[in-house]
Formats: sequence, C-alpha cells, structure tokens
Amino acid sequence: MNSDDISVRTACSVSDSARTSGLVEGQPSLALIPQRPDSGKHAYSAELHDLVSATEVVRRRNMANGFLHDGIIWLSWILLGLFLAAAFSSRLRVAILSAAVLVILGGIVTIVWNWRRRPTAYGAACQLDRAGGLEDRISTAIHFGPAEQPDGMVLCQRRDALERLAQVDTRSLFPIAVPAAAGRTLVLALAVAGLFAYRMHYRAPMTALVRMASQAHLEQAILSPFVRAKELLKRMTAEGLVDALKGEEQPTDSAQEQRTENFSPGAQKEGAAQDAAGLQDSLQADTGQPGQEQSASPAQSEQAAGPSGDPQQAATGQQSPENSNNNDSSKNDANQSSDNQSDSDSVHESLAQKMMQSLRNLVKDAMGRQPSQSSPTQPGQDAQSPSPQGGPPGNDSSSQASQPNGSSADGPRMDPRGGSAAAQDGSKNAGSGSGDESNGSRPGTRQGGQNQPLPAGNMVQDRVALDTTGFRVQSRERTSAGPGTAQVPLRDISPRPVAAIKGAEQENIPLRYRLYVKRYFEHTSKTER
Amino acid sequence: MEGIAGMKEEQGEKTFERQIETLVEKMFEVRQEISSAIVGQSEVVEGVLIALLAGAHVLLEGVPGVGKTLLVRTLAQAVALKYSRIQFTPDLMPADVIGTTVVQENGDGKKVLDFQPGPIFANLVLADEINRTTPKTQSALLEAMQEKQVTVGHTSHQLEEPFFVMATQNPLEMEGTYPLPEAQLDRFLFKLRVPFPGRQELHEILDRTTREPGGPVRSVLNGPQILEMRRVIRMVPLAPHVQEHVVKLVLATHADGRENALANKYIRYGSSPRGAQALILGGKVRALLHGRFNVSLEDVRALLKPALRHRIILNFEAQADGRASDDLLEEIGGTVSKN
Repeated sequence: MNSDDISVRTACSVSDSARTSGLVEGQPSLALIPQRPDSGKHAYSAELHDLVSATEVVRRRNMANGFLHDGIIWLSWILLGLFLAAAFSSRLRVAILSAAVLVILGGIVTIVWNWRRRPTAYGAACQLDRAGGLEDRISTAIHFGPAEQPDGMVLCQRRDALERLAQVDTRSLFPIAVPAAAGRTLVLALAVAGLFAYRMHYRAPMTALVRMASQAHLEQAILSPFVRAKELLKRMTAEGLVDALKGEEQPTDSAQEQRTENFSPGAQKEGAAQDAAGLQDSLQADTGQPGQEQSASPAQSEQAAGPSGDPQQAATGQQSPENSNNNDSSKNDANQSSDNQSDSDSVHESLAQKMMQSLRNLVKDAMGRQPSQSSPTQPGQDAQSPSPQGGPPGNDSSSQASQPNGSSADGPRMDPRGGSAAAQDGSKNAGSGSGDESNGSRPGTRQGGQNQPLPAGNMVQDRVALDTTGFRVQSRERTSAGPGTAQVPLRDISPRPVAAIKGAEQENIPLRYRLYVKRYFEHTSKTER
Repeated sequence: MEGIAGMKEEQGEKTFERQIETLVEKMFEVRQEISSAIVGQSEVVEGVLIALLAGAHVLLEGVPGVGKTLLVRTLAQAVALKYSRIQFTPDLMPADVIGTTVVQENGDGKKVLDFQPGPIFANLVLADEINRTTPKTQSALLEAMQEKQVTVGHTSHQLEEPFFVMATQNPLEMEGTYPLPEAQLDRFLFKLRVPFPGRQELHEILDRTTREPGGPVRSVLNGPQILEMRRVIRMVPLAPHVQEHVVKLVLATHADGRENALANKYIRYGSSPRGAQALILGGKVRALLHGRFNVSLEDVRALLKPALRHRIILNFEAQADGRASDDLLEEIGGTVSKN
C-alpha cells in the first residue's frame, strides 16, 4: 500500500470543511465548538438522537434518585418533628397540618432543586461512559455532537459510539434505587404512627413526665437549697406553730421578763419566744434535726413535735392533777402576760423580740396566707379546751416543761423530773436506731418499742405508714439526725374531745400535711356556711 | 445538486473511514513484524510505535541484552526507513553526529567547503548508549530532535521526515557516564523501561535465537504513510474532561502546586508542558491502536508513566526515602482520578 491508499485528498477536504466550521488543521478546537451541553435533541443531528435519548434516561434516573434521596431525608425530619410534637404538644391538629404543609413544600423544593441540579447531557454521558465502560465514547460524541459539518474522524467516532451504545442497557446501568435512609425513615414513620395511636387515648407522655419530674422533691432539693429550708420550715410550722405563735404574742413579753430565769429546770413560765429563738438558731444552722424542730415551739408538742412532749408525760406517769394545775397556772400566766404586754410598750424591743418577729415573717412567708386564714379563735379554743395530755399547746405548761426535753442538747440537762429516765433511755435507743418518727424508719421504731416500756394511759408509739411519708424527706432527715438526740415517737390515741381540726388529726396523715387538711376543712365549712 | 453533494460527502466519509481502517491495519502489521523478531515486550513495542506515529522520540532504558538495539533495528526494517546507528562513546564529537564541512575540489578545480552530513541524517537514528558521551555531543542532538534540522557554521540543514531518534541507555553502569540533561530528556516523548523477559519469554527467545534464524522482517509501512498517519492521528477528537484530567496531572507534579501534597514533599521540578502534549498525542495514537476514535481517560492513565517519568526531578528526600518516580506518578494519578 502506498501513500495513495490513505487518501490525502479526502483528509484535506475534511480538513477544509473543518476549517470552515471552526476546526483548525483537523484538530477540533474545543473553544470554537459550541458549548451547549444542556441542549435539547434539536441541537444534535438526527444521527445522535439515540445518544441524546440515552443521556436523557441517565438524567431522569439521576433526578429521580436525587429526589428520592432528598425527599426521604426531608420526610425523616418531618416525621421527627411529628414525633416530638406528639410527645410534647397537646395540639396534634396543628402539628399534622404543619407537617402536611411541610411535606408539600418539601416535595416542591426537592423537585425544583433536583431539576436545577440535574446533570447536563455531557455530564450524563460521562456517567454513562463510566458505568458502561464505554471509554469516553458517549461523552466525546455528545461534546462534538452540535458541531456543524464535522470531520471524518468525528463521524467515525459517532458511529463507534452508537455501535457501543447499542450494546449497553442504560436503564439497567442506572436503576432507580431506594435510598439507604429509607429503612430508618420507615422505622420513624412506624414510631410516629404508634405515638399518634397512643395520643388518641392519652395525653402527651413527655409533658406528663416533665411535669412529674419538675415536682420531684429530690430535684427541688438539688436545684436550690432554699427549697430544702422552705420545706423544713413548712414542716416545722405545721398548723400548731402558727397558732402557737399567735397565741403567744402576749406571753412572749412575759417571757422577756423571765429571761433571767431561763434554763432553770423548774421554770413554769418559759416563753415561746425563747423557744422561737432556739428555733431561729436552728433555722440559721439549718440542721433540720427532728429534736430541734420538736423543741421549736410548744405547739409541736401537740401536733408536729408531739412525741417530744410525750416522753415527758410518760415519765411523769399519771400526773393529770399536776397537769390541771399547770393548766391553771398557764391561764394565770396568760393573764399576767397580757398585763405585761400592756406594760411593755414603753420597753425597747429586746433581741428576742426581733428574732421572734423575724421568725414570724419567715413563717408567714413560708405559709403564705396561713396567719390570715387561720381562725383567730383557734388558739383560744385550744387554750380553753381541756386536754388530758396537757391542754392547749400554747399555754400548756407541761408541754413547756417538756420542751427542753425536745431539744437534743438540753434534753438531759433540763429534765425537771427524774422520772423521765425511762423515756430518755427510750429516746436514746430510738435515736441509736435512727428510728425517730419523722424518719419513719421501722427498725428504729421497733427498737424503741422494744427497749422502752409501754407508755402509760393512752400513749402509744406513733407509727407513720411509709406510703404516706415522703421517702426523700425521710432520707434527708435521717442524715441530719444526730446520735442520741432522737425522741421516742409517741402518739396520743386518746379521743379528742373536740374535732377542732376536723379530720386533720387522723393518724395516717403526716404532720406536715395536717395543716393543709385542716385548712381544707375549714374552707369547706366556711363555704357551707 | 444537494443530493449529489450529499452523496459525495457520504462517499468522502466512507473513504476517510476506510483510510483510518487501513491505517489501523498497517499499525497492526508493523506490530506483528516487530513481534516476529522481539519476544514479548508488548508495552515497549507499543510505546515505540506510538512515539513513531506521534512524531516524537523515545528513550529506551534497560540492562544489556534485553533487545533494545534489536527492537530499533527491526522497526527500521518494518517501516522501510533510512536507518543509522550512532554508538555514543566518551570521545565522540558533535561533528561525528551531525556532520562536518570539508574542503573539496569541485569540477572547476576550485576548492569549496562542502558539508558532509553525519549519521543524524536518517529517518530512524539509533543513539546507542547515549549517556556515555559528553554533554557537548549530547547537545548536538538538541536541535535535531526538536527542530528537525542541524546547523553547521552558518548553514542549517533540514533533516528528512520522518525523523525519529531512539536512544538507549544502561541504568547499571553509571561510572564514566554523563546523565542526560533535563533539556535533552524533555525532548523524548517517552522514556520506556525495557524489562527483563519472563520465563516463557526467555524460553521463546532461546528457541528463536539458537535454532535456524527466522525470515527477514517485511516492510509494511513507508515514510509518507507514516506522515499521513501522523496527520490523521491529530484529528482524533478529545473530550474536554480528558484534557482537563491531563492538565490536572501535569499540575499535580509541580511542587508548588496545590493539586498534590506528594509533589511538595518529593518532587523538585515537575513536568513541562511537553509532558501534557505527550499524554494527549500518545493518547490519540493509542486510541486508534485500540480501535477507538476518541481519547479516553484510560489512554492517559496508561501513558502517564512513560510520558512523565523522565520529566520530573525528585529531591533528596525522595531519594532518601527510596521513592521512585514511577511510584510517585502512580500515586499522583490515583489522587487526581479521585478528585
């Protein structure tokens, strides 16, 4: 074969035609070839329609896969939002409507986004080359497709590309694949459906959970130490404290006069202010010991700190005549204190008064409207009501006498009667077992009951059911109890002559709740009136 | 008239297509003739053919006895070109390569300076062991290889087309040699490494060379056909993304480029633009040799090492780490392909 076999003439003619169409020296100049990668079929010759159709298939499949992928992700977010809405919100209708709107909007946005992002014809051809192993035949043909009057080599390349394209199944190379996130989305959809089915009959579960968690005593105690102090104050000032403070507004002055006689074992007239001062100290120390709480006020000897006075009474045995004498003396003291109050206007306020006033403020703050709502006649009623265990808490001298015993520090030292040794032993035993009443610990109570002789008369050991006692409060009090300071929890089971508190004295009601029960019944009775 | 023009155009297309088919057949014939003399070494043979059709030169590197000289001689016989061999030695002078001017007496009895062309004036020049001569003599090839002409005195002499230089060098005996300068190396389209033959190939070599000698190699191609092939080969279309890939590859070999951190660590100087030209031109020839009418990324990947391995200069750190240029080019190619 000589040089004529390879026709120079034909090649030159092709080169000439190429020059006219922007191709120089037979070398296709990429810059001169019109760059219309996204052109439609009309931009290509009829010979290339199959190629363009194949690239269109690739573009559509890419767009469909992109739409599925983005749509699934969008749907997952919407389902997640629905899940949260069903878990927290009570307005399901709004959530469903919003989700529907978001689904429609997301679908539109996804379609538009994938339409704008879809590959060009050239890009689709490159993908087809890679997927089908066509060695860049399709992309080259597509790129040189819009060229007018292509040279012979380009035509040969087109035919080669078409021949190879016929051997490739474009649709099988680019299947519409389910996105990998479809499984997760399906699981999420099932969860949302289940939650919605639950919501058809119940309220939002997370809202109830959050509300329950926000009311937990433990969290309140962790969140703020003031919560703890407030609760302690509430417990200390359960109904009797406020009443006692009101009732002792007059005796406090008499107690001032008798301040020099403080800590005398036989003192009959120990004012409530002194106890209040001790209570104030205990509050400042924030110890929370039950013994100190019980010694805080005489009222506790009856209600909250009833056990603190009970050992004293148990020790004195059947001293009801003495108690009656004490009652008389307490009445006299009340009158005397009222006289002293009129005389004390000219006297400057002592430190005890200030502390008493601050204590009242604290109590009022803690109890809210307690002083205003409590019946003003109640102290009087309590004072006049004969009580077999020592009469009303405010003026009961026996309860006052038993107050030092209630104090953990002063108990043994200020015991006016020697007969209280058994009760002291019992209280010590109970303290050693950490079984004070406020703890509600059964072992401690049991131990105290074993070592302590049975109380005389109607005095029995007070046992508070665990279910009515807050567990967290118990643990907190247990840690604050000191060795040897616990009191034997005793409770008076003698029938009350007057149902003054109308059910609040029921034994299964914890002390700190009795005030509320009482207020509830008082409110009810007022309403009935 | 339009129908006649269309028929002529269609006839022209068919003629052109037939030309290309004939061209591809010729190249296969040349390859078969070379294979009749050379056992194995298919990549080397293909590289030599690609360089011949691309109009560039080849540097063959291999240990003695692997058939470098035989390959060049067989090729010269197969393509029916004027062949000359220059054995480069340390005392070889440039005039011994390009020729010299001698005083001769013409017909009138006058003495005139007459140029006696050297062995460079041939279509196929074998520069055997080119690294054994001095740089001065090596530089005598610079002008011939790039501009296809030599200048003696004030006269430039054009070399006959096709002009094709095939140089060989021995990588082992480096003592007393003069490594080719970068400018000289850059003028070679490919640097082909001639590997030692394998077991089967060695058996076949022994069978061929120790029995009766085979028949002579047929000439299946001539100079004009090669020139026509060179022109047709340049018409092979190239897609933009393939050209972009080539540009990225060349830029990735430069130490100051951001394409590849590997080049910043191991490469002192990267490839010249001739490297990109070699990749594209060689890709076009390779595409036709593989029955395609377009350059693909696969062609570029296949020719990456032969086209660029002698165009990058490694730094001391690469030598200390034992990194070869082929390894680096392979990593660079992989990195660019991923991007």
